[in-house]
Amino acid sequence: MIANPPVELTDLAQVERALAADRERGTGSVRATTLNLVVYAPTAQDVSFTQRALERIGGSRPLRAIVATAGSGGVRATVSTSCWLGSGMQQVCSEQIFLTARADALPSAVLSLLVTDLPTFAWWQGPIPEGLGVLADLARLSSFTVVDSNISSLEGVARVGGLDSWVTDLAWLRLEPWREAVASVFDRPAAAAALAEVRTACVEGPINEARLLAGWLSSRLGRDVELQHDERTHVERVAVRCGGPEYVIERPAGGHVGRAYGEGTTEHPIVLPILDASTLLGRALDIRAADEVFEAALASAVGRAA
Amino acid sequence: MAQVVSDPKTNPLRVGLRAGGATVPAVFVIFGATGDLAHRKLLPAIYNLGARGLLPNRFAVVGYARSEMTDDEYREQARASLERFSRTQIDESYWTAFADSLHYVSGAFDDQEAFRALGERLARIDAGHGTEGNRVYYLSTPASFFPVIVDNMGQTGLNDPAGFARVVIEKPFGHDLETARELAETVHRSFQERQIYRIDHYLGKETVQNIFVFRFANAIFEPVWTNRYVDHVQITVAESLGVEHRAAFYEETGVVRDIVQNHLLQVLALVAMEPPAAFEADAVRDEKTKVLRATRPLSFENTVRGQYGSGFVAGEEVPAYAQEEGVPADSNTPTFIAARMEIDNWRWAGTPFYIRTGKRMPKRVTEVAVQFKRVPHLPFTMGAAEHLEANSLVLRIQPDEGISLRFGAKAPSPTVAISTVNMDFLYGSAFLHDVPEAYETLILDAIRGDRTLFTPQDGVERSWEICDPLLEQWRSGTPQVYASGSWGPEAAFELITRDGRRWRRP
Ligand SMILES: NC(=O)c1ccc[n+]([C@@H]2O[C@H](COP(=O)([O-])OP(=O)(O)OC[C@H]3O[C@@H](n4cnc5c(N)ncnc54)[C@H](OP(=O)(O)O)[C@@H]3O)[C@@H](O)[C@H]2O)c1
Repeated sequence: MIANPPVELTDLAQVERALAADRERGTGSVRATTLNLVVYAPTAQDVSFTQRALERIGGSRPLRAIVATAGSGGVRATVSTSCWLGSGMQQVCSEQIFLTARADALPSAVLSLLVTDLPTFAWWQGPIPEGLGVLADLARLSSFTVVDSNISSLEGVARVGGLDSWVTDLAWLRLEPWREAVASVFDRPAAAAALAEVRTACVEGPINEARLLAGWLSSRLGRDVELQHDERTHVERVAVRCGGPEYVIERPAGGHVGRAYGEGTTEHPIVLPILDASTLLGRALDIRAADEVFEAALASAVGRAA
Repeated sequence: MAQVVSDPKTNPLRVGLRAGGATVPAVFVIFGATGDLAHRKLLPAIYNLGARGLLPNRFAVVGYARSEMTDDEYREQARASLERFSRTQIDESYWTAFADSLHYVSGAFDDQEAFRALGERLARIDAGHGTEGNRVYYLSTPASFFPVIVDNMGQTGLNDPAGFARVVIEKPFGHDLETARELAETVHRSFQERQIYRIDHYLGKETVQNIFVFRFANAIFEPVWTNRYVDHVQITVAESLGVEHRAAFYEETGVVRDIVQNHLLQVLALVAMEPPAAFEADAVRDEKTKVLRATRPLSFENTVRGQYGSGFVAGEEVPAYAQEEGVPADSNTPTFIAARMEIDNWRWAGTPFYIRTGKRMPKRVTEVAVQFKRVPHLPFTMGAAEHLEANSLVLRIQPDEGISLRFGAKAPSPTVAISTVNMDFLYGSAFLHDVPEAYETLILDAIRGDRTLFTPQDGVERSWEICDPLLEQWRSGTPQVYASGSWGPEAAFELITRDGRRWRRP
């Protein structure tokens, strides 16, 4: 990665010029930008976490990141460009604008810096505040809002879903290999019949992921599926009980390959990667439509708890 | 027996899940498992698919070749080839599971007993891995073995397992129309056409598939993609390398069989075909075959053949083809062709397609240039538009895949002065994803049962019909020698300048 030195500015009107100057210093060729990513980073720790995530994904998805932090005093922006060399001479470049302004001034500052006519994502890293506040303002600027129910709550995610922006939950994306594994157990005609008997899901993993999984099963099967839960840092085991027979997917703690077994299925290995935050964020940025399966799973998970 | 299907209708948990991967269990059987292709391409591709979670959960690989070996020895060999050839590093936790799914059976291709033993082994693997009798057979052997392998599969029942059976075959699909038909007849003795997957790895390349997306996902290009607006099309497939160590193969093959009959005609078909109703196997393959049917066979009068002489490529002195190791000094094998082709249909009548391909060209490049007609009337003074060239749209396939549009713009000046500018889009500047190898795409498609990117027999036969008359005429006479590092013999330039046009410099 090649990074141009950051430029600090107090006049947002200068931001585009500074980025254009960065482009001039590079290869001078036309560069593509595919999306805007607005990140709310309340603390210095969030800012550096964001910086690392951007370094991981900026090369595969050329984007303009606007990292917003609430502070006192006037608007300040630090602008820089990072480029990655692809095959041949071409570069993939991402722009970062670290923005500090009073909380009530942030949305308008962000709005002035978005690249026109590109999909815009808001990435909210922390817990979801009761009244939504700045989150609601940023979500309104964006077509997609990315949150993580593992660090907030499913109820909070549902509230964000009420705004005029599609919601992507990183916890849901983390579960994708597990959902695939569970679904594949029921591809066999013999096991498909057992679907009608699914009563209970026993999940060892974070509570919100466990609730989402049970919500997913309930909403897909159109019937209440009971959740039994043991807390773990990552999902390690999912057992689906169908009256008598049980189907199990498990992965050793920290491993990448687990196994699946159950009545009438041959035990087999199964790839269940632990996906890190930047991989998940990258996947979230590839989603460009509403995920109805997620919405139904969330509604079911939240509805049941209420 | 009832087949496993990952269908949201029977399994509601499938809704919205994993559009990309394969879900139906299967055993992947490699005939010629110890060969070069298996080690360099197939095993790394299968491994990478698995590591990305794209293979079915219940899956196994069985290698078959003559060498005596145990499963463990084959696993060691596979590990060594992954270390050498895989585009990603080996992930130890996945390797253990992958190795467990690798098996090896030793036997000759003409030994029916060994085929029966293979069948028994496959049945045991079904029991152990839950692969349900589904088979994808990959014939990774020289084409001369296809008949015996396919016949023995038929006679030992390997073609008719409990689940599905598919057979993947590598090009060449024959040497001409007649041998292509013979090969098809042989394979059809044991398999139906819908079970046959003819691989042209070129079609698995992301960049080639992108031609399709470019044309049919954008509203602005298709309306002008006709003889009404397009003056002509140029397709260039240039290699900077010479024949390397494949002299024996190349002496038999030559440029037409090596590049034109398969890759080049496939690119031509993608550029010229009508929009299919869906990006689905039958729709896409039918449209491609249709446009090839409308393509006139190559003719002696409209082609130029060349053979590289000595010269310099990228500053390196290189020998002539006839001096390469293994090539007879009086070889007549062509290493270059330029041709003017015509497509007799409503869309393209009167718009020629000029193609050229050769070895030892100045650089390696594959591109399609669509040259538009000039505007019917220029409302500017002569001087203003003096240097204005016609619009052109270039689809660069490799290297540096991208799209470049040439148009006229007003040069800053107090009067109207128009100059020609290029607007370039480099695919790689928008996406730096790690690009899957063509073999990964194609193997996954074969496991999923998606034949879109595989060549149907009628397409193969039509492409031979286009090439055969020329191959016949080229039996006599000699190619013109061109200097290595040039764009081909002088006559190739005359071929296009006589029509009042000129080759682009890629
Ligand atoms: N190599 C490439 O990069 C490449 C690229 C594109 C297409 N292709 C095509 O791929 C195919 C395979 O090419 P390749 O280069 O991999 O061939 P190869 O290296 O010559 O391998 C031949 C394989 O067949 C086995 N074999 C040969 N005779 C046999 C017999 N009588 N009984 C049983 N096994 C026998 C060999 O096993 P033993 O060693 O155990 O005898 C070996 O595994 C060809 O159709 C080729 O045109 C190859």
